[in-house]
Amino acid sequence: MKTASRRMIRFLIFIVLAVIAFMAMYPLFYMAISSMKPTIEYIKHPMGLPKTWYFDNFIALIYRFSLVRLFGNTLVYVGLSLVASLALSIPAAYAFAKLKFKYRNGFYIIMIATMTIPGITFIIPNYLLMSKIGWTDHIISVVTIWSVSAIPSTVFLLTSLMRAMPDEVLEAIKIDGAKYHQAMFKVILPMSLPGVVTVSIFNATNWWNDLLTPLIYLQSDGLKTVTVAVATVLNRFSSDYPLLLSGLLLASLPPIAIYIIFQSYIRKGLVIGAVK
Amino acid sequence: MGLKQERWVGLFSLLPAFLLLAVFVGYPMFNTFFHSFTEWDGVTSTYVGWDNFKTILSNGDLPLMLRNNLIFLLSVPGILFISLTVSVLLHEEVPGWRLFRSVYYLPAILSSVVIGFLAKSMFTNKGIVNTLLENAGLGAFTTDWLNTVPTEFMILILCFYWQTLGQGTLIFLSGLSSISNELFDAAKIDGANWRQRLMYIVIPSLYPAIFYFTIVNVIYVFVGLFGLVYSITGGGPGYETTPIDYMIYIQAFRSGNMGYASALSVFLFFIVMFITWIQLKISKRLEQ
Amino acid sequence: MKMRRWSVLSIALMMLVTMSLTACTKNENESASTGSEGQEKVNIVFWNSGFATIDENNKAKKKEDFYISQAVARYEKAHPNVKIDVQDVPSGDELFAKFQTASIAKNGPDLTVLWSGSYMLRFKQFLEPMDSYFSGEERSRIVGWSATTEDFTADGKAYGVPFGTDGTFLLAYNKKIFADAGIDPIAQRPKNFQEFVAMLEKVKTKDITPLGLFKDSFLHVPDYWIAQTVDIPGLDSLVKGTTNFSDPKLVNVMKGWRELFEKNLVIADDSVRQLFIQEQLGMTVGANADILNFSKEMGDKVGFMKIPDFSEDVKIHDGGPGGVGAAFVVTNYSEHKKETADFVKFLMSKEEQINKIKSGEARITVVNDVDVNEYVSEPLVKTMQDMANEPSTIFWPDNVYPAELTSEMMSLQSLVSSGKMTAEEFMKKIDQKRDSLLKK
Repeated sequence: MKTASRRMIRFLIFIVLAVIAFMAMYPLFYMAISSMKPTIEYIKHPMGLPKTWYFDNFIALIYRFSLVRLFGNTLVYVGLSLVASLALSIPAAYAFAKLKFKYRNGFYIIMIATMTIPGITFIIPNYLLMSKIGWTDHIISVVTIWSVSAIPSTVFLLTSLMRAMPDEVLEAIKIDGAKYHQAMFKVILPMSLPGVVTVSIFNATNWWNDLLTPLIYLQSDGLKTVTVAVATVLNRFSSDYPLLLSGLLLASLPPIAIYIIFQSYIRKGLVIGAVK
Repeated sequence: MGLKQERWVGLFSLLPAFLLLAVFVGYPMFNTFFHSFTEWDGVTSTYVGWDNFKTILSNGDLPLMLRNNLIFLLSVPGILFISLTVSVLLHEEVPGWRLFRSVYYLPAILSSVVIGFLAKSMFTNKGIVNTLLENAGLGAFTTDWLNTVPTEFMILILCFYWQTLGQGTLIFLSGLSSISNELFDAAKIDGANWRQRLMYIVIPSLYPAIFYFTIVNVIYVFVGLFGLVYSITGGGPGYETTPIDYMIYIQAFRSGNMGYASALSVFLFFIVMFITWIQLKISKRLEQ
Repeated sequence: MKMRRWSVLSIALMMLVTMSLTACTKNENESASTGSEGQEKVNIVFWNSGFATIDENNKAKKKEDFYISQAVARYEKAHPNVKIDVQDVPSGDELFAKFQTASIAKNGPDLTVLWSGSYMLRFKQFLEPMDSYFSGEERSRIVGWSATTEDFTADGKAYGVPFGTDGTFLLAYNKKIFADAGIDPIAQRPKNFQEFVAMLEKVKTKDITPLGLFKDSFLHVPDYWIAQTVDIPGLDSLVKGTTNFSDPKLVNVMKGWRELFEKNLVIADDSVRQLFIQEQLGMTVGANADILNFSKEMGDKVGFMKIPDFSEDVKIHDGGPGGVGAAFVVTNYSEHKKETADFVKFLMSKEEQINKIKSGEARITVVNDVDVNEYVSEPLVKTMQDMANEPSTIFWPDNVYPAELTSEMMSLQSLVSSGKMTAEEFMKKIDQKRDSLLKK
């Protein structure tokens, strides 16, 4: 009797989760079916299944854009930004979580405070700054803006995680006379890997979809990101939505692949620790 | 490592991050503060004292924008509750849960443009939602979703939830996996029911994750929802769905009032700081 | 576990490879541009947001086959010392934000295409006046300069060159639905708003929504009614504050706008084109591109008419909003203003305008020495070119108002249509907004 009702409950849970999964999959499905419609069919039946196998939208994208270069660019910018943001954030998070020093809390609050300003405010001052340094229209501008603006939230997450690490392990290695970098590479990094992967997924997907930063800072066609290129599909004289959706679908494939590969790392050990 | 040494190591660990933050966040912030007291078109600025702030308080848009921000703020507990529930359900490990877990993050990977697009086409007058309602004999509930304010908020919040559920389950599920099975089993033997287990084991051990999720999303609804508002309602009708950050965009890039936009940013900064500060206070109290 | 480590490693490797690849190609580019030391090469950066680089009807068209690529190739061949660097950019809000930011740092393009009227005049401080570059003769063969001049007159100080015309905005209707309802909207063309409403109500008795609008249709319908009521000089005095929007005649227009919604004669959302083609809608609004799509899909069933006059005593009868919606602009911080203006002249030349029409990417033109009818056979296109040239076509009113005023109108008009704000309140607010803008 008990197992029967338990089965029933598990079945209900399954149904609920499956419905949510369907909702989560739906946008991707919608993009996929829309990308296979000619413009006029999309206008007539925006929600329906495509009538024929129609791949011209993808052909148009291939002819219109140098896809390899666009994806390559975006991958490079996102990759470099990931490396830079982690290199800057991990030591800071470690210091906030495990080291005792004066003004630690003060610095921590300042760090969190910088998250609370809308990014649009910074566009013009930062562009002027970048153009003075001569970094506009160069990948370094986008990488800098992305990685620096991600520091506060990255540090915030990693600090929370590192606080949950048992002090004993660190103490033990300290007693052994380990240096900073040994503690970092032997204990801190391996133990916080799931957190690092999680925050990297958050950051990478945000950056990949970011239109404004690369749009503003980069100009040359050779430096464009996928997201910016796709945005040029619509202009005053054309509103080819299926083509836009095909572009967006194509643009979202790499982050999905990266997510699927990396997510297995998150499975164990991501524990957000005590807040102090 | 001695204490004194630890202090230096600590400060040096912060140095690179703070140096860069000082340049690329600190400088524009200072710049924004400065320009909030000016009339500024990007090239020339003239000092106007507190005029911008006076205009913010007096031109009548503020109560409406604060109301809109408040509505979004009040939607955060909802997504917190949903994410927690879904995580707990996933933790039951029913068949297919791994797949579900992966799939839930997909909407977060897609840009707001897609989500906005989809929501817009679903909720048109003769769109899929109204058609389904009619076919289900609920014709009385069909409405012009995208042209009435409460339903517009509903759609905006739905999209916000859509994109945030994945993040929530990702964080909470890993928190749950750290709760030892022994603890659960012990509770079961003690005869604790599902609800008691949730209240006394799950929530307390997830507490730090909940704190993190809430802080991040409260900040997000103030400074990040802009993309969805832009693509779904455009802030209308009137300014009925315009939150402050969207108004900053309109003022800076559509009207070219960058001094006024700066003042609004400063204003928003203090609001969000205040709310975050309250959250930190509450969390400290809860912890004790 | 091992496998996963490998996958991470391989991704890292992939990134490194692509990184070095991009680095290499970048260097090549640089050396190419510095290569020709002997002769100074003029490099013109053109942010293209106007010329098509996508063809809805022929998706397999390659980038180099589009008109703009070919025109650039022709120009570069004729002028070996000039290189035109065409960079595709998004249009609308995104372009404005990018152009504004880059121009503040004097880092923008030499040439781009912006929306005309006040949308581009907002950036006046970054734009080079075109008067000294275009002789009277060169100027007179292009129509629509008023869209680019400071004071919206044909011979004022021009900050841009007309790019192309939107033609006249029309109403498209389903002939069958209208016939079923016993109406011929052409023969019995409504003479005023009341007759228009009566016509729509007749359609409604057939259980069909009479009129489908977009969310921005305020710009195409009531805003046009305001413009036809006061004429262009009248619009100008509204903007300058010598007359008021609260004028009862204009308030009536907004009352009419509300009435359409109040009587459930209208739906306004993104689905109207879909519904119209599916014949679930009596009438909708459309510009060139929509109209050609409609006639392709619905054949003879679709008819077109100009927007009915709001009343008998309007100043401009039987017109429509439209005209030159976009303009070429040359930046004043450009180092090659002369060369850039020459390139614009080349694009506006008779030959190039003919090439553009022949490419099928433009249907009608803004130069008066090219007769579109010689190059296109579709009667509908001819009709549209004729209508676009009729003097009753009123230049987009939203391009005449200051951008901020348009933005305020667009935000508030939906409150009127949904009944949350009265027409009087709306007009009063617009007057207030205009006064506050004038004070600045």
